Amino acid sequence: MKEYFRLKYIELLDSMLNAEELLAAFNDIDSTNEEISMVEENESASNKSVWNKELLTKMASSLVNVSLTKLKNKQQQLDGKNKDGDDTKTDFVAMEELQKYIDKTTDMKPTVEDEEPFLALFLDKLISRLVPEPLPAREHILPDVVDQEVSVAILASNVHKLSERMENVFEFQDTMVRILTWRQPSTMIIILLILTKICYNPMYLILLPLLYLSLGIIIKQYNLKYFDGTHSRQSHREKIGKSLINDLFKHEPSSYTTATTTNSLNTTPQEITHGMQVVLNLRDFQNLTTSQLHMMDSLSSFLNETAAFKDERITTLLLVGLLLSCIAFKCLSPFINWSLLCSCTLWLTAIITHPKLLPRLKQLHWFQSHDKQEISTTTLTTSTIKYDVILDQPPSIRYVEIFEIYRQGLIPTTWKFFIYSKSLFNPTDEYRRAQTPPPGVKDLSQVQAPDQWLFDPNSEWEIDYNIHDWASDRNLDLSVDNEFLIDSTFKRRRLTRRVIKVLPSS
Amino acid sequence: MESPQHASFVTHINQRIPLIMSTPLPVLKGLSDIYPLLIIIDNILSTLLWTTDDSGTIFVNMVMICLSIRYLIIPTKLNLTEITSQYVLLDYLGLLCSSFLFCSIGYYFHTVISETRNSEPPTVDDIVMLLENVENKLHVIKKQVLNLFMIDSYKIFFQWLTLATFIQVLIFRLHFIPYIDDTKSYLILAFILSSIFHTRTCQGLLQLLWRIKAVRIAYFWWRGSNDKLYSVKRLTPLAYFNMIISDKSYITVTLTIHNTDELTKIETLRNRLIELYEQGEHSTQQTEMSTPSLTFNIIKLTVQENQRKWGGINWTGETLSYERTNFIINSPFGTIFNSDNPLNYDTTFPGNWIKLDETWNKSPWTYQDGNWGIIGSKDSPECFTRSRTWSLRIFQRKI
Repeated sequence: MKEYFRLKYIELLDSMLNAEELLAAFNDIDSTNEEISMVEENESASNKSVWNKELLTKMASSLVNVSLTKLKNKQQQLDGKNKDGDDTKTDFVAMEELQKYIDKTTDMKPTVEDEEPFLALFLDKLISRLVPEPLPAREHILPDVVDQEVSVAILASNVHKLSERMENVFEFQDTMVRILTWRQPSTMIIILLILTKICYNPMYLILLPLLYLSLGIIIKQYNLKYFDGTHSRQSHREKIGKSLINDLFKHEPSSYTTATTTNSLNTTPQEITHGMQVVLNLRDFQNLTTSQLHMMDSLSSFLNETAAFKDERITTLLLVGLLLSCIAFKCLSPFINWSLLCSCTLWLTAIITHPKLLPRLKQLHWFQSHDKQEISTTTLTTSTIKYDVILDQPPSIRYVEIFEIYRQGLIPTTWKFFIYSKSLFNPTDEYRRAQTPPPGVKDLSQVQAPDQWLFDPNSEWEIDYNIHDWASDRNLDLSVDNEFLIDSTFKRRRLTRRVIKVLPSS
Repeated sequence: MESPQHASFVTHINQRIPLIMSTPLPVLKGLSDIYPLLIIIDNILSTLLWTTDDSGTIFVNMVMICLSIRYLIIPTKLNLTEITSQYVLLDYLGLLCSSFLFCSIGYYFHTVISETRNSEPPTVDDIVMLLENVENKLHVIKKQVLNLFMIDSYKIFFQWLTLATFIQVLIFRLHFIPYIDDTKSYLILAFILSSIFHTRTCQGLLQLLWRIKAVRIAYFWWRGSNDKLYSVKRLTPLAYFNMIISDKSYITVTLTIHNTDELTKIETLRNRLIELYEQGEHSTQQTEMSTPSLTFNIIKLTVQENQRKWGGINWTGETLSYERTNFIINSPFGTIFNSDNPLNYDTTFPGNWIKLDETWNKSPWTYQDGNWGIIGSKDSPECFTRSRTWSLRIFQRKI
C-alpha cells in the first residue's frame, strides 16, 4: 500500500515537472508571438493582452514550482518518518491542494498551516520569475556584503523584529518629551547645565559620555547585583513638605491630559501583554514612518519648489539672503563670544518654551501683532508687486526651418504647391523612395514651433536665398532656380523662422 | 486628418566631403605633427574654462598652485618673530607642491606624446575638430577679456582707474579684507579669482546677482547710465509749453471761411482744424487771398510713456533709477526731461490756447528689450520694456 502511494507520488512529481516545462515553453511561444504581433499589428491593445497572458503563465508556473518544492520538503519528511501510518492522508491533502492551485483558483487564503507560509513562498517565486535578470547592485562599504534576494518572509520578519526593538527608542522619546516640557524640572536643569558646560569646553562632549559609561552604567549594574535596599524604610504616607524648585518650575499637565491619564490609569493595572506591546510598537512605528514621510515631503518641496526657481523672485532673494548671512557670520564671528551666545540661547529658549510662560508670551505677541495689523490694513492696501528683482534675462533664441515643396505640373514650367514638410523629399529621401508624401501640412499656419518654444510674434517665415550654403551642408548636388532647389519632379525652398524658449511659468 | 507639423531646429550638419581628398600632403604632415600640441593646448584651455568633467582634479591643482606661489615668492620683509611651526609647515608643503606640479606637468606631456605615438594616427577630421574646439575656446576668452577691459574712451579709463585705486586703498591701507596684506596674498587672491571665474557656480552666481536691483544701481552709479534718454531734470507742463512757444515749433494753418456758422460751433471748428492740421503736416496749403480767412496756431504736445515688465507678467510704470522715467518729454531742443503723468496736466493754458483734442491720443505700444532696444510691436518673452506716445493738440487764434 505504502509503496504504491510512493510510486504514484513519484509519478505525480514527474508529471508536475513536465507541466512546468510545458508552461515555460508556452511562455516562450507567447513571447515570440508577442514579437510577431508587435511587428504585424503594432497595436498597443494586443500587446497588453499578450503581456497579461505572459503574466498569467508566469504566475501559474511559479505556483506549480512552489507546490513542487513544498511536496519535495514533505517527501523528505516522509523519507525520515515513512514508518508512520497517516502519511498517505497528508499526501492526499497536498495533492488536492495542488490540483486546486493548478486550476488557477488563486484564492490567497492561508489554508495551510506550515512553518513556511505558502503565500510568502509563492510571492518570492513570483517575484523572482517576473524579474529574471539580476537587479542592479547597490554600493557597499564592505566588499563582502551581498544584496539579498527579494523575499517576503525576510522582509516581514525584519519589520517584526524592528518593531520589537524600537520599544527602547520610543521609551527614550517619551522621557525626552517629559523632560523638555518641564515635567521633571530638576532633570531639565541638569541637562541645561551640562549643555552649558559643553558650550564653554567642547571637550566635555567626549568626557561626559565616558563618565556616564563608567559611573552611570557600570556602577549601576554593580549596585543592582550586590547592593540591596535603601537605608530608610518606606512609609505609606504621602511626602510632607515641598521643594521650591518643583513648585516654581514643575508643569502639571493640563486638565485634558490628566483626564486621559486617569483613564489610562484604569487600564494600566491590567499589565501590558506581549500582543498588546507588539501592537503598541507597531502604532509607534507607523507614527514614526508617517512623520518621517512628512519631513521628506517638506524637504523635497523645498528642493523642488523654493530652491528650484518656481518663483524666480523668491529663489533669487533666498540666494542673496543666504550669501549675505554667510558674509555677516564670517565678518562678525571674531567679535562674538560663541560660548556665551550658545549658552544664553539655550537657557532663554528653555525658559521661553516653559509651558507656564509660553501661553502668556503668545498672548502678548498676539495683542501687539493685532494692533499692527489693524494699522497696516488701513494704510497698506495698494500694490502687491515688489520692485527688488529684475527678471530681464534674455531667453534662448534659435531658428527653425521647414521646406516648402512644389510638384511639377503637366507642363514642365508649371509648378503646383505640394506640401510644407520637415523632410527635403529629395530623390534619396526615404518617403520619396516609398512613393508616399512626407509628413507635412498644406497650410503654413499649421506649422508649429517645437515643444516649449514659441514663434517670435515679431518675426515671419523667411525664405532662405542662400541656397548654395544649405544645399552643400546637406551634401546635395541638385540644380538651382532662384531660391528653389530642383530635381526631376519636385522643387523646394527653405523657410526659417525665429523661435523663443518659453520658460515654464510659475 | 492633418496633424500639426512641428518645425525642426536649424542645425549645422556637416556632411562635407572628406577633407583628406582636398588637403595637400605637406599640410597633412604638418597637421599630424601639431596634433599632440593641439591636445595639450585644448586641455589647458578647457581647464581654464572648467569645461572638463573632472573639476575635482582642477581644484586640487589650484590649491597646490596657491601653496607653490606662497612658497616661491619671497616676502618683501622677513620677520623672524612670525616664523612659527605653522609657517614652516606651509612652506614645506609649498616646496612639495611646486616640485610635484613640475613632475605632474612633465608626466602629462610625456603621456600625451607617447599615447599619440602608440595609438592609431588621427584622421584629418579629428584634427580639424580639435582645431575648431581650440578656436572656440580662445574666442570665448577673447570676448570676455575685451568685455572687461574695453577701454574706448577716457571716461571708461578713469572709471577703471578710480575703481582700482579704491580697491588698493581698501586692501593695503585700510586692511578691509583680512589676510590680504602683502603682494603674495594679493597675487594668490587674484589667481583664485581669475581661475574660478569660469566655473558654472561663479557664472550662475553672477547672473543671479545681476537680477538684484541694488546691484544694478550700484553698477550703473559707477559706470554711468547707458540709457540715452536718462536725465535728472524735471520739466513742468507750463515750462514745456513755453519752450515750444519760444522755439516757434508750432504749425500755422489758415482757415478759409465759407460759412460763419462754422465758427460759432466749437465742434465743427475743431473738426476743420484737425483736417487742416493733418493736411498741413503733409503739404503747405495754398489759400486764395480773396476769400476771408482766419489763421490759427496749433501745438502738438507729446509725452512718451515708458513701462517695464516686473515679475514676468506685470507691466507697470516703475522704471529703474538709472534709466528713463515713466513719462518723459522730448523737448524741441533735443534734450530729454522728466514729466508728470499727462492726466495730471493742468488743462488751462495761458494765452487763449484751447484744447483741440478732447483727450490725449495714445499710440500703440512699441516693445523693447531690457535695454530699451526696439524689438517690435508685439509682446513676447524677450520683451521687458515698452513705450508709447501720448499726444494732445491745442490751438490759438493768431492775431
